[in-house]
Amino acid sequence: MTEGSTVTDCWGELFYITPGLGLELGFDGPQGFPLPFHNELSVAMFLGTLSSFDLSLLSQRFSPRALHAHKDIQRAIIRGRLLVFPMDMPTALVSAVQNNDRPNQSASAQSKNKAFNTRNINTYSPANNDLECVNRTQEVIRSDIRNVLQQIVEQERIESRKIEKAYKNKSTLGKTGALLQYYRKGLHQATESFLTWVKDVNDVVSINQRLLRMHMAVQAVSHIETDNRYELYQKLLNAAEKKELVEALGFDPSLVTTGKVTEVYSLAKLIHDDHATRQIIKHFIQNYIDAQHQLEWSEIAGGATFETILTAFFAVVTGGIGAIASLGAQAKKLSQLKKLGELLSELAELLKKVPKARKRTMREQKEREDKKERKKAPKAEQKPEQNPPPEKRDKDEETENTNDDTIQEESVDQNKKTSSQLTQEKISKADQPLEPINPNKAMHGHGNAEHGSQTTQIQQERRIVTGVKPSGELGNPTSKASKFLTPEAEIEALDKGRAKLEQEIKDQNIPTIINGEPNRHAVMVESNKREGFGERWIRAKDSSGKNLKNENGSFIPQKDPVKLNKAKLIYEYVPSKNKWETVTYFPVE
Amino acid sequence: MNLESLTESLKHEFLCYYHADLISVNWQDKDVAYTLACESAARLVRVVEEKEDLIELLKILIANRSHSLNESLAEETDIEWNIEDDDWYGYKTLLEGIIKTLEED
Repeated sequence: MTEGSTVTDCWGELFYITPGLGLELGFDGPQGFPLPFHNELSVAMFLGTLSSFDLSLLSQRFSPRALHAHKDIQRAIIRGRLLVFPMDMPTALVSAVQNNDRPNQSASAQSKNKAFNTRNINTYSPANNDLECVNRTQEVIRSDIRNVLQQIVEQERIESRKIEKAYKNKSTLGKTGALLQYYRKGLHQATESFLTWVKDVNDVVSINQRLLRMHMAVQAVSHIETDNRYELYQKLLNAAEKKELVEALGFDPSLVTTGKVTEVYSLAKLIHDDHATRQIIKHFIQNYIDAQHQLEWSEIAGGATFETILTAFFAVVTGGIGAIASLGAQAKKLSQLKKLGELLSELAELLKKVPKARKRTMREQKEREDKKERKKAPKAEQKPEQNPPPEKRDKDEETENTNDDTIQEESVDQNKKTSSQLTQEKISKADQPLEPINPNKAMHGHGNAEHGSQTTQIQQERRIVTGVKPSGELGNPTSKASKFLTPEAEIEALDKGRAKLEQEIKDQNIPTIINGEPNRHAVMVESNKREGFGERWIRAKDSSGKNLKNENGSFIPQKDPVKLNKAKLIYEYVPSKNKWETVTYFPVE
Repeated sequence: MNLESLTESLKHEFLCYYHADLISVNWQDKDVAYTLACESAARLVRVVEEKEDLIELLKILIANRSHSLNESLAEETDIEWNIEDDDWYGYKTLLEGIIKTLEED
């Protein structure tokens, strides 16, 4: 690697990497600003786009200990010893880039990029197994999705910085600090924002989701009843509801047929069900909000994941017509959105091909891991062909790629998920979106958010005093506020609750929808553990049973010594998933 | 329908729809309370054999704040309808709304 001449592809842009001269961020060098890395994650993401070849070259310079190359390079970037400059594309590369929006879009396009796309130097050789090929491609596409989203966030950060810089120049004229907010807000309003549209869509999507729910409800009813009311209802749905939806979205109604809506929905759902992609988009929304410092977005942060996916798909399906109408001058955002939609479509195609894995219980997973561990011990003396294919591939790579130890170790670690990781993963999926018709009902499950073991005593006590929930949402002051003791206890309750719910649905023929509104059903389960499920705080009372209050007239919280060895779980039917999800769950005595 | 199953139906209804975690902050708003009451009536009427029995029970609850079922419903919901005056008036409005809807149906 010649110093100052390495060019690599990251977030769809070309970058120039140079061992730094100790320049501070914000220095107007010949290549413009060095790329600002705001945290270790963004550095790690950037390094993830480099080939092992580039990494090994960088490690020679920045890592005296070869085993920790990644961390040393990361540190060098964070400390400003290694700067990454966004740069204009060298003339020789321009044509290649223009012909290829994303390097992975096609094999031919990839070959055009061969000279500078570091991925092509990678010694990785895909396994023969078809499923593994699919997995590898999914990873690449997800990485590209992450990159496109990261690009949007970084652009937003750069814009924010520019705005602040411009304001600083004005501040010499005696502007007060308080005006910055207005100044920034004004400029943001003038330029619009990616999430502005998503938020608008988010509002409409509630109509949109209603459309889907009604559609599904009608379809479900059609198998049981065949009266005229159904036909009339369906006609109304197709004519009035669809028109309302597409008009609100800003699309030309004639461009969005029922078939397209259905197609977009099924693709969006497929992607939304993919946990890894959903997490990427969730993080994007959070990062985007951070970049903008706009607090009002926080209210949609959790719930906009599906809407973001849906919006990207609509941008592709309608050729972006709706987005143009709504985004106005922000054509750049539109192209990113379309790019995102294309990548999501590509991923959806692959996901369709992946056979659904049999779901394992935590216990089965643990047994499987233990079995693997037992096998590993005497494995050295056993026949090598007993190793499963992925491990064999790792071994092969190890011999071919001996100076890439860190990466090897990381990939092995990733494959070996501990049960605590599985617990966390399961808990992260506990609170799911809901689809009530009544707007006063919760749009998202919140059992984990309000009662999870991560919540604190102070948060639970505050609930009793002010009604503010651990998630920060304002609720009703509650007479009791409980939380799970551990993530494992929470999972135990969730697993038992799900089993009980399924049994009761089977035995009691519980309806899914009542009067057009998704139904709810509650179950109670008991813990096997001596310590029970959780702990709680209650309102302090006097001897007559009346609530004690402090001088401000607020309730006084106190710890309830009672053992909470049961848990209540309240489920709600989710029409688009044809599944019951928890609305809330909490430990009880 | 016996009293026990009627009581269980009411407890299930209140746990699923009126728990402090679930009920919206503006539930005491007249329109919101009315919608909630209508929805409750529609659900309850499906599980009770005689709606008149339910109406009668609800009237007893309104008339007797310290009724043990009022306490049970407060336990289910973590809202002390039976102790705090503000909550009691809201709760009474809800029960009246359910009765009204059942009677009109």
